[in-house]
Amino acid sequence: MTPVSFVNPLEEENSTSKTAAPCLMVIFGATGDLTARKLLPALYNLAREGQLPAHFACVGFARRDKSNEVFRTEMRDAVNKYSRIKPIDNALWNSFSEQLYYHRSEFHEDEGYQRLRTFLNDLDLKYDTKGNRVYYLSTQPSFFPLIIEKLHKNGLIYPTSNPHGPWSRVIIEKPFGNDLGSAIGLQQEITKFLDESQIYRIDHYLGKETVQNLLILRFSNPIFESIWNNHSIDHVQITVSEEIGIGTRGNFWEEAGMLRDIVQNHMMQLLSIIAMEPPTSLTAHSIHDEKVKVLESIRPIPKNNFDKYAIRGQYGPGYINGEPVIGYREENNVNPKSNVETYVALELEIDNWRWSGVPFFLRAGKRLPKRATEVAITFKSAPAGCLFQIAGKKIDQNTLVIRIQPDEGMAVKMNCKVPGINSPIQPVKMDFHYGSYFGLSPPEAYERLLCDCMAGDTTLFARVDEVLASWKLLTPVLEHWHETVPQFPNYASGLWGPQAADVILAKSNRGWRLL
Amino acid sequence: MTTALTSADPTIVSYENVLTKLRESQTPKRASLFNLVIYTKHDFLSDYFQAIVQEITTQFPCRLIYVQHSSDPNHEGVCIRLLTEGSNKVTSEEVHIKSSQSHLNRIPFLIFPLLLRDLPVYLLWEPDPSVEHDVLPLLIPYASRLIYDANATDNLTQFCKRISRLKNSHPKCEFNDINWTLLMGWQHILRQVFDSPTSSEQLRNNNGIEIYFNSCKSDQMHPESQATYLLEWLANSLNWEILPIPKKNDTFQFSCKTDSHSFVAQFTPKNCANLYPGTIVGLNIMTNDSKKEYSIEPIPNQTKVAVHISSQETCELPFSLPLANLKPGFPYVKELFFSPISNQYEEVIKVIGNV
Repeated sequence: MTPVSFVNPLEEENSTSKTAAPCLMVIFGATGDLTARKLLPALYNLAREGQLPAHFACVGFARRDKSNEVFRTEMRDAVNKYSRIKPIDNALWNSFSEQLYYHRSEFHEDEGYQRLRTFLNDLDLKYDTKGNRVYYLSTQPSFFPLIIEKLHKNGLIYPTSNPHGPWSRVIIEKPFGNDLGSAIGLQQEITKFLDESQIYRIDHYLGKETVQNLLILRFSNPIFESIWNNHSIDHVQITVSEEIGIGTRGNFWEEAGMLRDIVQNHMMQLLSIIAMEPPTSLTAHSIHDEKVKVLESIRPIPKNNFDKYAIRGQYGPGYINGEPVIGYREENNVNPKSNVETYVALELEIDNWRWSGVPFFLRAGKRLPKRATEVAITFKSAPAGCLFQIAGKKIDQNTLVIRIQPDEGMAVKMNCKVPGINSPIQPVKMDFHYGSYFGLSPPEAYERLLCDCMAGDTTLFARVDEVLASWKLLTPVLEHWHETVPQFPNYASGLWGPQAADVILAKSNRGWRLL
Repeated sequence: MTTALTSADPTIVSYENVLTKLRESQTPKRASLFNLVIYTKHDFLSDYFQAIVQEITTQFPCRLIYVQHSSDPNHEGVCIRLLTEGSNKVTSEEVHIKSSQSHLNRIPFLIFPLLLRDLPVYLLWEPDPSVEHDVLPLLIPYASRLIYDANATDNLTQFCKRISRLKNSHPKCEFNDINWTLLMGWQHILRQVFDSPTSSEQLRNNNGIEIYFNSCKSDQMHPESQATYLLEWLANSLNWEILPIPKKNDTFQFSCKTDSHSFVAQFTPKNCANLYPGTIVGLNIMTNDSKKEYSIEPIPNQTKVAVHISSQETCELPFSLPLANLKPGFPYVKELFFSPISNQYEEVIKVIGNV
């Protein structure tokens, strides 16, 4: 094991490049959808780009009985189908797949973990992975405490007291808890056996190139940072819009809902990056600190005014892309009288010097007219009585739009004179498209995140206090919704959500952006 | 759409037409990331440079200005040809300029109006830039990066000296040798193989290094430049002193001194027709006590190397490592054009050039 104090003389001075360390990765729930669609394609592409550690192997851990060969064949099919780069490179796959293994066991069987330990020790010798371990829990959240306890009990998780010894890290998928109480409970359970530094809470939005670009945009462009405050900004809209319904995830969605699945994690992460103060450094710790500060500055939604600040909706039958679709209550595995929300709109206020008076409007919904995730910063209007408003027509406010997906890029809307005599003022767009400039498909979020975990960088993972701050803000909303009965469904599929959501902005003379 | 304007002596009207056509191009305005000026002294680019340009123009939208010498002894003057659609869907526009020797001094003046404002200017120079006096001196003050091939020169030591001086005279321009970029894959491998105090010490106090390089026939004068860069890089990082030993046949030898002992480093040629001349194709390192040997060689038909570590008593299981930049591809081109230039490169050329 390379001691922390060793500095490789062949490394460039002040090198900031991260290198994934030698390790074995164990994926719990390896026969599930996430492994096939995201994790194995990510590992394959990391191998393809030379980003996988030199000494590495991956073990799929699941309950079904299968051999290494069958697992490798299944993963090859998955990578062939879901990799961002196709076709698969046969020579590369042949050498990569030799590092894939399968281990059958139930999650609760100590014997299975003991066998795993022996197996991993053998793999350590074969691949010289120095005892380092990454455990990816791609399972139902209810299994997290059990698996972590078993890992600890069977010597598969190491204490962090020896900084020169091998390390062990656990990646946990969202959601982290269902509300504040369960999140605190889960944290207490897992920290019986893990130090916070060993816990990597994945939010795949943070691995997206466009989300990482938000930090670059804000802090490497003084032109924006100088106006990134309540002197210049009127309001911020954050939208996560999906045209698809819940599909085959009826069971999951009935337990989760939009607030838990999207708002509490992805949208609060976007908001914290948009609203945070510049970090003192680019270390994970500094960035997380600033995100937590801004989350803790968000004013709690007034209890007597939930209905004006927190709107929920559920899609009914309608039309998407011209085709008829069923409503949420008609979907498979959904209670025909379900009151689970598929749409959320919130108005939030951040009480700090930078953002006081600037509302943040969040909306997330399924079965909306199109797929789009964006952050829109709308700037204040030109002063009343301004020269170009004398004609009585209000000119458009400038807007900076950051498109997270699809059609990743940014646009600035500004006003321009239409050529001609006595011509009106017309808004125009300065538009940057990632695809036009950097045509090659960027790394998938999971590639970046897996690589960062192996390199020990927690920047793009959610820290526990960020998660708890989000839950603290949103749990009262969940409780209020639980106690009240909504009139569902309240928007047709293919529309932009319930009318009640428009009221949130209308009360301050604003409107939702048309995407 | 191709607009061919051939003229023995371009008039302002003809050239104005090219500029006008660029501005009024009927194709939709496309993105451009940078201006790329490619300069060759021949009618065509070498295969390797062509591969680099191909990779660039199929991945990154750019304005490409391609300058060639005309080999036709009857041709006097400058020809300009504009392809507004580019030779593929990605490149924004391509301008081809062909010039006879006597008209080379006009080239910079033709290039300046063609450059897209606010975008970096990259110069990809096929001949030795350190002795080129017609076109480069006027362009380099505006360039963000100059990319060249040390193999194009006749004396590597003198080249490094001249390039260092040129670099010092133009601090705003980054200098990048494609041989250094080709080497980065091997540097990364060595960092990974010798990544512990024990192995690092074994490397520092080794008993002999043999670097295999591709000596396939080509018009390259210096197929050993990459090997030289690699050895100098190791010497610079590990505090070795290097003295050349007179060349024996095709093998280069160097006497290397550490604090405690000396050893011999050797460059051994190997013929690998499908690789760029000079590409490193293997490494052998013997530890000081001769007890351990590190052998690193590319795996055929894969972009990987196999690392064998053996001693008199044991033979460790070989493992493989990815080898980046073996051939022009997206990562290689990204390193060549976008990645920051290593300080180690500057130090290495200073040492080689005895500056």
